[in-house]
Amino acid sequence: MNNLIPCPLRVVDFYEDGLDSLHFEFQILDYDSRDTNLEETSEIQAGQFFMLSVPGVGEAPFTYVSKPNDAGHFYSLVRKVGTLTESLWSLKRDDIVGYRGPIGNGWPVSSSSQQSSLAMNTLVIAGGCGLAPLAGWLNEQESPPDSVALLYGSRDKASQVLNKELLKFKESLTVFEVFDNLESGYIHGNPISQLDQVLQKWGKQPHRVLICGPEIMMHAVAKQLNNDGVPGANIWLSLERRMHCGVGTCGHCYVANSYICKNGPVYLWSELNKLIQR
Amino acid sequence: MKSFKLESPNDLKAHLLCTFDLYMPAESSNSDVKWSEIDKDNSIDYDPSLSSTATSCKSFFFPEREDIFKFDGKKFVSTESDGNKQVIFGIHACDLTAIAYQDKFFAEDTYYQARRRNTLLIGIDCLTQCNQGFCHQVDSGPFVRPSTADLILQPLNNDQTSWRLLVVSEYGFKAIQGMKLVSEELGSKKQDGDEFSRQKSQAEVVSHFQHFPYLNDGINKINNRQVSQDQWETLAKQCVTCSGCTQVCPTCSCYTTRDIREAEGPNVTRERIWDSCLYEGFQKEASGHNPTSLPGQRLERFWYHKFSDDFVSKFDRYGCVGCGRCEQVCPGVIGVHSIMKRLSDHE
Amino acid sequence: MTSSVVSTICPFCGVGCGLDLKVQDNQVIAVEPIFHHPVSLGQLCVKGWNAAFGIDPGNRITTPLLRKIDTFHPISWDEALNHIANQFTDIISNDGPDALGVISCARATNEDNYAAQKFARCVLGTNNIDHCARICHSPTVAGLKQTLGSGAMTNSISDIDSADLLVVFGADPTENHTVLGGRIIKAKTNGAKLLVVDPRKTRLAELADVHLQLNAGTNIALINGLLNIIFSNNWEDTDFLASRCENQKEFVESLADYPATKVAEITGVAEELLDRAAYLYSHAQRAFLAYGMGITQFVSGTNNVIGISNLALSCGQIGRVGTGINPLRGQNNVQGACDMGCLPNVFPGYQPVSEPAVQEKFSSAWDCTVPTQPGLTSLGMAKTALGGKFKGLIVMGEDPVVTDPDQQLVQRAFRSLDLLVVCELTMTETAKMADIVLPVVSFAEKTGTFTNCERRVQLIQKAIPSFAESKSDWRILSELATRMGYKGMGWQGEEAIFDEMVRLTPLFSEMSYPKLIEYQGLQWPCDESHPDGTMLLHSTSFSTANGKGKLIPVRYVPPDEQPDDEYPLVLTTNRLHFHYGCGSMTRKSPLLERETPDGVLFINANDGESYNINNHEDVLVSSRRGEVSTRAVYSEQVPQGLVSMPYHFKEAPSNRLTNNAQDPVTKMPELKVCAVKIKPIKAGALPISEERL
Repeated sequence: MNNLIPCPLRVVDFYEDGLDSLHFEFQILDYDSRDTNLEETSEIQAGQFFMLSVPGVGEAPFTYVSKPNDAGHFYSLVRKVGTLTESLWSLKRDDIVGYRGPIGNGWPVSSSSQQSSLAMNTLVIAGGCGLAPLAGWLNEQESPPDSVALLYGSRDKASQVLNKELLKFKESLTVFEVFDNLESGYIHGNPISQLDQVLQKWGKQPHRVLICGPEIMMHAVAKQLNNDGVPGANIWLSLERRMHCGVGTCGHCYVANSYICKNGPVYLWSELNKLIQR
Repeated sequence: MKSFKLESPNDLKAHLLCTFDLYMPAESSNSDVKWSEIDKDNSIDYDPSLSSTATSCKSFFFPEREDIFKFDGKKFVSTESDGNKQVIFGIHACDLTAIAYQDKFFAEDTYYQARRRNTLLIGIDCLTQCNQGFCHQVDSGPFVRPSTADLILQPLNNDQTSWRLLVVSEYGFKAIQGMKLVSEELGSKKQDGDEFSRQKSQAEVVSHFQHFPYLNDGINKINNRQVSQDQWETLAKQCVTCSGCTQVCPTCSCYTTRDIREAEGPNVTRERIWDSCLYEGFQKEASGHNPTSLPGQRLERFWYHKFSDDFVSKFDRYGCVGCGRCEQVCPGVIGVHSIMKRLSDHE
Repeated sequence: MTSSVVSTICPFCGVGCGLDLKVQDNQVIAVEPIFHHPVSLGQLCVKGWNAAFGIDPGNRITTPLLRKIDTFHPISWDEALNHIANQFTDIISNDGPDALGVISCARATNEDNYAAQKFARCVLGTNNIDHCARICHSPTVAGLKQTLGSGAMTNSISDIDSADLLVVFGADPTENHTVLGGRIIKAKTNGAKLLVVDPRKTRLAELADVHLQLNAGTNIALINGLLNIIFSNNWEDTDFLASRCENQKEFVESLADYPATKVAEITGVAEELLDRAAYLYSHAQRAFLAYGMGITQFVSGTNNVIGISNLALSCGQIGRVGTGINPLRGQNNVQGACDMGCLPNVFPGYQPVSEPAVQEKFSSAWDCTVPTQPGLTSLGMAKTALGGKFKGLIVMGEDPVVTDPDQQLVQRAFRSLDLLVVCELTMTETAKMADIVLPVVSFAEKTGTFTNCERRVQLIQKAIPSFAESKSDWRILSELATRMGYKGMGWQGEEAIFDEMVRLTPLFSEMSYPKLIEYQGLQWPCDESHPDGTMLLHSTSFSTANGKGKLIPVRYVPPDEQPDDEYPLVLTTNRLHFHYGCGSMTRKSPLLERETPDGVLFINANDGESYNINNHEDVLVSSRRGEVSTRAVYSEQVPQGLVSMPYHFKEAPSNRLTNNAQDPVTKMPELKVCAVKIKPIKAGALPISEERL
């Protein structure tokens, strides 16, 4: 079973969704008869990722905004940062690219007992396009709106991604938006500088935290919340690293003796903290 | 493990040449000892006294460049190839230990495994210490660890004129069918005696080896996290990033992939090529973020991977097999001996 | 699995490391070092390790190409060679032989180069032959010829191991010449002292015992300052000077103009450091001095070299093991290209073009009448072309559009030619300007010899068949010669060329291919008195007419273009470990290309802040010759006031900025110093780095 060979993936559609960002709809071809070349447990989890190949250009990891349905359709958000992502802007509908997934471990899945416990407050912190790996998880939440708070930081309104999803979140969750640049009517700052203010506004003590964004931001926020009393085992971060295989052999995505593609990308802060010390 | 008396390794070589492609160490015109393909016609004799091969066996299973798949515009097709049935004849214990290590690391890599399963490994015990080697200090030699080879050549005297052939695996046993060999096996008691006497012989041999205390010192310092960031940055000043260490290291396995488009048409080939964690660009992301942007961080990472206890649970041993090749290829004078000396000397 | 391993020599720099090519299915799939190689001892630099990518088929030229307006069309070899032969013949009859010229290749073999100069002299009838040594070590050849009688490295690379002082003057040998740089690090680790003279804080400067971080272009002031201190303290080697040198009196008098205080002011180096350096060098038992472009690429290049020679002679640090004057020849065969006479004023073996006895010898051996006037240099050819008097040029394997100073001048000159023929592996910037492009074989596809910086002639071996329709450079010239009516270049193979050259060149007279294999290379002079080659030159006498070393006074002259209000920064050029020359081979390696963005300007962080340029931000660099946009990278290596650019990247050609003011003796352009101004391209915007993989 060769785990380095992609499946053909059709570009179904795409639209602009934030600064330098495209929201793609893909379809994994022959999804029901696919060669399960990567271990699929029961279902794809929010927070897992896939490797997208643009033949002739290269391959890189991207997140699911939604998981593949029975027909193999799913959504993904891409921001233009380099040669590979730039090549995605030249794709046309019905182009064939490559897909390998799902890879890695996803966000914590709430057990039914946890979900029924109304005392569970979750704080979700996203920076920039870090909202994308969290979107799938946020979509699944069925708790009361004020028990899940989303703190979303970006440079300005134009750089926000997943605009349609954001509108939905504003109804189903408690959303706080912060901007580096001054936008009238909005909190000015970034997730770490505004954390205390936002927590006050929310008025709840977070029992668990999910974070995704630039690494410096994630570490700073995790440290602060940990100091404020949230156990390291209740804080999850999603890391990213350069990747070439997604199966733990190319060596690029290491953090100490852990490979992000195998043990992550979602890590417990308590675990990650230990790894960074090594 | 079965044991046979063997007149000469060349007898075994001649027999195997009938069925397999055969590679053995041979001296080049430059006096380098390198892996050479031997065929029936030009069969030069195997010389067990030759020093360790300049390069390890790594590229037999994990080549420097290898096509992964071809894409024709619609489908992705694997370019995995089994290769011919081959035997690598006369591998030293350190290199065999490294193959076993990479067998674990690449357990699910079909490209590696396709070549590996068609390969018969013939090991040979070393009786003398090689130039930079310290296998005895990292438990990878000088005698071949039985589980790492199919067949083992054990020289019974220093002249290497009297031999025992140890058969370890099924594959090895099948390979010697048809050879006229005198069995030494007389029940389990004798076998234990053999294993015991092998251990004794090895201990005898090792007693003549030079021991390098600074190696253990350096390894301890790494595991006790007594080497500061500043120290690593100072050492890294001498790293010119030639990538030589990772090229010659028998357990290094990092690679990158790239796509090659044909001049016209949709055909694309993806190949994988050896990479090196010492390159600044190794972990650099498209955004510019680089978690190991400092050379000292990358240097620290390399030695951590070779000597940290953190990897032992997965591989049952350190990443370093004590072959010493990195010392010779490093222009910056920070190969394993040089680095460990510096770490050991530092207060 | 690999089917064979072929031993050869690395095609990149002048160290000449042993390289084993792993060949499978007629392709070089990987390289390995040669562990028992006398020079490299099993090491390679990152370029050597990536050599296989450099000759990948990918973008290799497959057939001869003819340009029609803007596009290139494949043509047959017959068509191509006939076209060239006819047009050259026309130009000779209309404008004379001196309207033509050849730029040969410091990376091609000795055999290719020998053929090139023979073609120029016997077929074209001109001495207009040159190559990139012009912009590299031509001052070495000219300078040391005057002082020592011979312009080559006086010692051997292995002498580094026995020196107790290593001096690195205007060179960065852990970036280029890496394996040699490594040997210096090893010597330092074993207790030798290290003295580095460089305006940049290079890797070796960081490891050095003493770093003289002088202002760019003040070499002579510094050297004369050191000598002033040495003679004032009676630290000179009086015995050596008395027995082996001449002109001491006039020379020492000239040093009076360089007292330490004045020198400290000019160079920016503290007096106490000057003292220390002077003491170290004059008191060392064995001081090995290596130098590079930081000495040669100046209008005072030749004089800088003479300065180095004065220093070594005054302290007796020459003619013994572990000492010497050791110019680090850059290319794998630039020494060879010079030895083979690809220079406008000498025949093979440095036999002068203007000497009647020499003219007679070659005319007779070659069965033609050799031209007697020294010819044009490469830069001379460009200028003469612009003047309308130079019409046709063959460029073999060099890329002057990227590597020569004042890029716009080079481009105008090439455009003005009636016929530009370029022999190349890939479509370099120069090839794109050609009228005819001819595909040539790579180093792995031919046999021949390279001569490294320590005068060691080494054999390279053909490992794979010629790619597509490519041919060896010498064979192309041989076939052209036949078509133009000259029969003296119809060699059977490379060995025949080598043997012919050996017969005519006293320095090589005892060499042969079998001997080169047996000895793993031979260092010239390899003649009757040194049949096994020569590791050490000048051990008993120098190669001057009377055997004495000449001390020649040299005066400090500031660089041609100084910073001023309009162009306030000094720009210098440097090399990166990861790339080689114009990058035509190294940039084909995905690993090397990943290491460096396309183009970089190294700038001191304080300067960055003053000019409002963030780290990794796009920056526009301008000089009086042109402007380049590239990326700023903060570096501690450059002091305030100095910025540095590598020249490897055609997207950010540093030579659009550099000055082509020339050293009057050698016409060497002053590539190392010019004045620039910088400004951010998008103020405040953080650029996105390009991902290559």
